[in-house]
Amino acid sequence: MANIGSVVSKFYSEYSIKTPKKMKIIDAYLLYILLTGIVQFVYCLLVGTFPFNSFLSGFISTVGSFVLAVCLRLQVNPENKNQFQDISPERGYADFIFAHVVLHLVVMNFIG
Amino acid sequence: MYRHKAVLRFNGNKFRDYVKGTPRNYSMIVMFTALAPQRQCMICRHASDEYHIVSSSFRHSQGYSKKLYFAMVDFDEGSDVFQMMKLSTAPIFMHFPPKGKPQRADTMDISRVGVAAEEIAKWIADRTDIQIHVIRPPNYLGTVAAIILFGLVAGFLYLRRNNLDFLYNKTMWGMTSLFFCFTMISGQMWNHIRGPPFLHQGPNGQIAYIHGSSQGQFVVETYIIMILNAAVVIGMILLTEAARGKRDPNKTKIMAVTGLILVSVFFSLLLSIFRTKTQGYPYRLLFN
Amino acid sequence: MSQTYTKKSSISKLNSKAGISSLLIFVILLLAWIAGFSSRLFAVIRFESIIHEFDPWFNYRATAYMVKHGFYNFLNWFDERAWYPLGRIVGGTVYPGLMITSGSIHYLLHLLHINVHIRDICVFLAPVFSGLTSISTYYLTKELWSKGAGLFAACFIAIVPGYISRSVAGSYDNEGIAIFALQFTYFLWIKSVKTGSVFWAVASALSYFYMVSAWGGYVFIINLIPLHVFVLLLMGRFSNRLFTSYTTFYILGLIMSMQIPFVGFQPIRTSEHMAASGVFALMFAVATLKYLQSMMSKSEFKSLVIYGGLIAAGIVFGTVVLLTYAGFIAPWSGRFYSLWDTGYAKIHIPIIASVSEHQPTTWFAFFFDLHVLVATFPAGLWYCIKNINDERVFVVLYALSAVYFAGVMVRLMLTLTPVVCILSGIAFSGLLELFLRDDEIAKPEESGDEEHTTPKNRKYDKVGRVPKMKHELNKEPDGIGPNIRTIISVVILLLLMLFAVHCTWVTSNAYSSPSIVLASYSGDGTRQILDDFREAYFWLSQNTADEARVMSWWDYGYQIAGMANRTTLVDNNTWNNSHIALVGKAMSSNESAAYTIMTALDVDYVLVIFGGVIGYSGDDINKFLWMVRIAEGEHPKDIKESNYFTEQGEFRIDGEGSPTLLNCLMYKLSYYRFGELKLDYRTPAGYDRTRNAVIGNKDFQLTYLEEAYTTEHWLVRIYRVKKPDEFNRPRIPVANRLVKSPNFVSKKSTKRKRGTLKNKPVIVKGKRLSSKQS
Repeated sequence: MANIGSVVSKFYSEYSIKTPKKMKIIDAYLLYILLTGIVQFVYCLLVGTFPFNSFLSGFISTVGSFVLAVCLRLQVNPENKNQFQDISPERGYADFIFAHVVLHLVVMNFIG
Repeated sequence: MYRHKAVLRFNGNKFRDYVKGTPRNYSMIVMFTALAPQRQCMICRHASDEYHIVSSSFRHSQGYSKKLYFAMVDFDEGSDVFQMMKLSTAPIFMHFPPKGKPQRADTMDISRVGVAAEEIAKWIADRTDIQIHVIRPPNYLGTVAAIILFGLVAGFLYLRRNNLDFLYNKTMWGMTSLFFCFTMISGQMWNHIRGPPFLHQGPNGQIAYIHGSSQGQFVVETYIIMILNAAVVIGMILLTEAARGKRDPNKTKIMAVTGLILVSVFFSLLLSIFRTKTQGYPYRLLFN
Repeated sequence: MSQTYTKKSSISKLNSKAGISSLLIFVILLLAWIAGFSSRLFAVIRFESIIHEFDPWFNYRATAYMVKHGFYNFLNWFDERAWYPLGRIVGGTVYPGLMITSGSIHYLLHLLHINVHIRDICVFLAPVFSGLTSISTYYLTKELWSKGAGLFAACFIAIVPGYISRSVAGSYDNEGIAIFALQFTYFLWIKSVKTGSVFWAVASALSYFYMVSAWGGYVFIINLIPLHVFVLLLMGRFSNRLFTSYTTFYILGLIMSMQIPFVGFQPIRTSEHMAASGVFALMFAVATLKYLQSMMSKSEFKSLVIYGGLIAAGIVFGTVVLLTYAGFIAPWSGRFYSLWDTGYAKIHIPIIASVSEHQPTTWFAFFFDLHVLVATFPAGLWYCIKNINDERVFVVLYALSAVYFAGVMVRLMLTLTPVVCILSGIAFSGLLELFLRDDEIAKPEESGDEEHTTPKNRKYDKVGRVPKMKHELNKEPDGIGPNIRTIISVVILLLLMLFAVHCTWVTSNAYSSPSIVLASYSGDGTRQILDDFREAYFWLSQNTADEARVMSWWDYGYQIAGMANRTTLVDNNTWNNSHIALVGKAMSSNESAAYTIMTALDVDYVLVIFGGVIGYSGDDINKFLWMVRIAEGEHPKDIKESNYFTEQGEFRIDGEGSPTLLNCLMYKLSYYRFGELKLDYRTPAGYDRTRNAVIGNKDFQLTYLEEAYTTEHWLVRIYRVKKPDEFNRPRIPVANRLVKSPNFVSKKSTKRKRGTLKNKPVIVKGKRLSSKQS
């Protein structure tokens, strides 16, 4: 138990040192979406999924936002620069917004 | 009657006692067969297995009653029965109704419907109104084989865990996929589903390797096609390698010429086989 | 012309060379488009601009409805003219992509005041899209290999018969546009894997959405792409690019595919789609572990990655299996299941097995549809495996899965064709790139060859030329002499030429008949057009009541609805097996038993296809055994297949045929009055040319039906079902005694009633009918 605790604390300290501030903002956003997703899931377990398409569109929009934010984080992370050679951070943001527009247009159509 | 066996074995006397004596209060299904090894009747064996599946399904089913009995007569035990029934072939499934003589439809038409247990059950239901739900003894063979194969592969990988380079051997993967492609494009799947004869022997003894129409094929034919396709592909690869390689000139020359011959000759052969199967196909290369 | 370009390009600067090569590419793609378009026009030139076959007629009808009533009405369209008396909810049971595509083209053209009839758009849609397909194939191959290979592949797919078979002018079907969507989705996917850009992933999800809206084959994409990702994971090729492209593609593709009403919630409910979500979860697991590893920099994490991945995969797999058992996820549907267990369809779903497209493929069919490509694409596959990278893994998997599916089902040859074109393009370009590279001697021979070939062949030479320019600079001596080099190039070009003429021949002979207009060639080579189908449908539309119900076998349902505009009982959308079985039962029962079924279904007319006069083999008698089989599947008590065979187990229509067959409705309707017909002086009367036999039941009368119309060549015969009060008076008791023995009593009771109530006889009969119906 103590071992895991020490690992976690080490992880946390390394995280707070190594990660740039921009990344931390995105991470906070990710955490927020994750919590939203968990709330939605618990809600569906407790109450039910009755308008199934509404539930689905809500849940998928959460998952989609999460996915896109993770992608954004990967693309703007300077450590991954060599993997995304022709994608500048600005391009990453533009793509992020474009994908969100598409995603939420579809979600709005689906939520019925 | 014997209660403990699902299928009764009859010889001549028993057959007369239990089957020919009418009227009875039960129906008889009798399989006439020749299971002795020296008879070399492959289908008899298969049919007998299916027949036993049906009878044991009936034996263990809910609707088990004394209205229906299964029996079999082997040629080597009751050849007199075969003479009595004027039978010259085996296997034959016959139904003997409680009253009256067997009709034409009381002989199962195995040449048309086959000898699968489901078909036998359907035919019995048709003749006697007794529905038998066929329960096949579950076939674990496939599962076991898969598990063994999986275990072997896993064990092999584990033994060679320090030297997994062979997994990165592109030639091996390439060979495997090419072989798979050849299998598919030569129509082995068709063979698997349709089960065509290996080759065709005409009435005068002439042997046909190639099916005459475009709708069918023989097993040999598909092997030939497989080899032809493979030869063309090898030719293509040789040609490319010859042009790319920077080895001594003689070797590349030989490679190039071999490749050229392989491609042109074997593709022409392929085309000419194709021509024989298509009416009015106008194009050809090298061969007629 | 291109010769001068080449010369110039070797002297000029690099950027102008790039300009010229892109011009060449443009010209070649344009030529490929034109060649592909024009070789699909055989049917239009020989016959006329007309919709082909069966399914296209429904698509056309639906499109016309959409153009007339608007998109939203189309989505809510309840078609009461099909599947009488059930009806069909069309909007929710079609893939609307095709109709929307042609509808929007129609709309655009009308905005520009180009008044084109919707039918012409439908006829020419598939050829136009074939050009788009070849362009997207070019881009896909370019991403996979090189520009030269791309041009080869584009030219191959423009004229390859395997694709032409589904995209000739007039075959207005989903596949025509779906192959374009398929190739385009794959191109965008490869692009997004290469760059890791969210933009390309979104684009590929959009293209996937178009594919979902167009064809049920989208399942192929949603399984192949996860497979690609999974294999890359196994190969240890995980990268953040892969993560971005796959997760974005999956989540957007998932929600977009659920927008199509016909697909609905299937993407999260059926097993076919589960692999994709499993890989999605796996990606997240792997990415998290990678991230932790990078943060904590411990070497043990390497093993943790593997174990974690395996455990995650196991959990996902277990959940899927559990949910399947619990019933939340539907198991594999029959059509897909029959791909894996090859014996499945034959036993369980006769209606699938009865369609000839669902048969396995012979080697002949492979060669017929792909010709030289089938013998060379493994070479391309070999080089892809030898020089593997992320995107070539994809094409290898594509080839292997597609070749398997094509082996199981003829129809899936369509998905194999594009990848075969790509791989053959790679093989040929790899070869010609090397052989046409330098030698000054070889070049004039080449161009001489080029002068007198047809325009269609010329593009191959041009394709060979493009890589040549690229390699012009790095000349080096090699072992093969110039003579052999020339010979080899000529032989390869000869093969390609042979391929081009083969494609033209196959297209013109096998794939260009509209099948509703038949052509026959007489001895002196003149062509005779048999237009019996349209004659019959036109008669139906002009001479029958608007709400008349026509019974026919399901093959002709769409055509009757599309051309005659009459209500049908069953059609090519085979969603209700028992209804089809009922029609099959009516066709295979004797006349009086069939009459009870027909009156129960309110049938007014019966339409049968009879080819005995002209020797047309696709007629109803040849399909009859399938009717019997399908009927037997639902009504095993009444219909038995064995009754329709002779004692020797043969299916014969002559005097030795089984009496059940000789007296069933289909037989009687096909051969009514045929016994009096003497086709020519050599054959006896009643000689059936299709089955080469004299029919066995010649002189019979029809009691419950009367002949309404028979077309010029007897191809289509239409009968009117008599109303109960129309039978000849003396026949009624006979008929009643034969079939309606239970009604016999009720009839007596009505007679007794008549004695007391003194009703008019006609009304009494009406009552009797209704009592029987209930």
